[in-house]
Amino acid sequence: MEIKNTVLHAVSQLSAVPQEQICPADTLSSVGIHSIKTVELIVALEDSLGVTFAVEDLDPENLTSVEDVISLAERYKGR
Amino acid sequence: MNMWAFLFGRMSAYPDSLLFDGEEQCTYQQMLEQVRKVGDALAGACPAGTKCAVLCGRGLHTAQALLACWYADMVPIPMSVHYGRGHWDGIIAGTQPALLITDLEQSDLHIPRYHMGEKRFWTEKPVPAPDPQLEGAAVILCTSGTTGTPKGVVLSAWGVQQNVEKIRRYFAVKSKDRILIARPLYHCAVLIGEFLTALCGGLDIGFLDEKYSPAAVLQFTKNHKISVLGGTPTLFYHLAAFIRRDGQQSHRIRAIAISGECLHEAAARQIRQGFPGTDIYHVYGLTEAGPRVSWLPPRDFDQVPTSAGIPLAGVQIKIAETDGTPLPAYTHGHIFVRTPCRMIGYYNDPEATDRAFLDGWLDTGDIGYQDALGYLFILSRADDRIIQGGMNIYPQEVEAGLAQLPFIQECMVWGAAGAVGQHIAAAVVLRPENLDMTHKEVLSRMAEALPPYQIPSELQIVEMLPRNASGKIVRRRPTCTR
Repeated sequence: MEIKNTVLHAVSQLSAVPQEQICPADTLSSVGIHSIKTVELIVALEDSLGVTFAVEDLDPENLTSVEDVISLAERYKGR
Repeated sequence: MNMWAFLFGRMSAYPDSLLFDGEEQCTYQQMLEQVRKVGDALAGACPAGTKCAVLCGRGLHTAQALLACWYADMVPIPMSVHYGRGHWDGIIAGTQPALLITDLEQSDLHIPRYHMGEKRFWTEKPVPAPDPQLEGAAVILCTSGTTGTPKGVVLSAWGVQQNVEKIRRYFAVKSKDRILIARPLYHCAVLIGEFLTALCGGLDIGFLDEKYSPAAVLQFTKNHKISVLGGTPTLFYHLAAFIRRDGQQSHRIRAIAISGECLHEAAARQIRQGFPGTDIYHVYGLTEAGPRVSWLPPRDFDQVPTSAGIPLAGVQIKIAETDGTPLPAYTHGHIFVRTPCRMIGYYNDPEATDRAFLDGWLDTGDIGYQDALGYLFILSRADDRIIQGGMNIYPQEVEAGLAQLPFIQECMVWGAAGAVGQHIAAAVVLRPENLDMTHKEVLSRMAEALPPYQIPSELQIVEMLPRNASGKIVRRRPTCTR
């Protein structure tokens, strides 16, 4: 739950949508997170979670929804 | 000298240099042979001066298509797969090419097509349509326009060649260098400042065709021993963040060229941290100027990183009032440029061409100043244009897209300052029957209607837009939301 909230908060900081309206099923584009913002989201999450994502896990094709980002963060925090 | 004679002579001097992407590589010699084959097919169907749009998913295909057009003495119009159908339609409607060279399978643009992958005409051969106003032209490059219709900037072969040679005089790269081209050749700075400059210098040239992905760029530079890279402040700021976490030895890049957005002090410091031993060239230009206007010598970057430097040889810069009256050093004013590389004009728009020049000086539309040594500093735009990640976007283009949405009564778009450059901000007034819509619903519908690069990063739902005393909308952040 803590990681999910961290991701939702990070998304809301970069999106025009308030955190309470963002849910995991949302696509990043539907909340205004385009390619440049996705990079900023990754950098912000690395800082706040204290992890370093591998380049092969950052393929934009595999990071299309908020849920994708939560799953990525959970995989690294669970290591 | 036409483009092909110019490029053939220079490429022939480096037969073993390479062009490559993630799928294949070829030497310059092999590329010249492939270009001849494609170019002969094009020349057999189209007379000299025919306009030809180029829309390829792979940069290597785009490069080959452009060279084949020049071999056949045609005038290419590069497009980008990243900017979507509406953008392509606008360019095709505005420039009316006789042929489209593409490697896309599903392209349903209704003009005769030559398929770059299969090296054959896919549809009927084009009806030749040479255009006398393109005499001496090398290329038509489309830029965003206030009406939402892209403007076609016609550059002359002589101007393009001059700009390449002027860049090569200061850009200290050699044939042993390997450059990565990570942005579409649709952009003038990439086509001329990176691709053609590298080609004439015999560099190995790598293409990365992914959408914006600094992580992929960094990986490519490591895997392919890239030593030269061009990009926007946004790209290098993000690259620096990725490099920082990997340690400083994570790349071998020895020269970078930064352009396309205003570079601020804080971003410059971050970039320097990521590229501590790298020659950093902060350069300035615009498509209409062919494009490069000025460059900051790398030795000066740490002292004055926000300066766009000194003019290229043979190029003049003037800071002036709107009427062209020169202003003294340190005084803010309009940036005018006099350059032999200037555009022939906007395609089919002589009035706009006339407006762009004042007594032979090109009005850049940028505001800035020069210091006592003549170093140029760019401060802002004279108009409302938003520069997001190096992409020029006029608020009117986004507003025109938003106005199509049935729940929006009126809207306003402006550029808001982000961590590095600008991002798109929008304020909307909803129709009375849609007042219960949430930010998420509104933004989600916007994302469906707009191309990705036009989706606002900031959204305010307001009761009214800010207006001045005469009722005109004032393009600034509203103070009252709903």
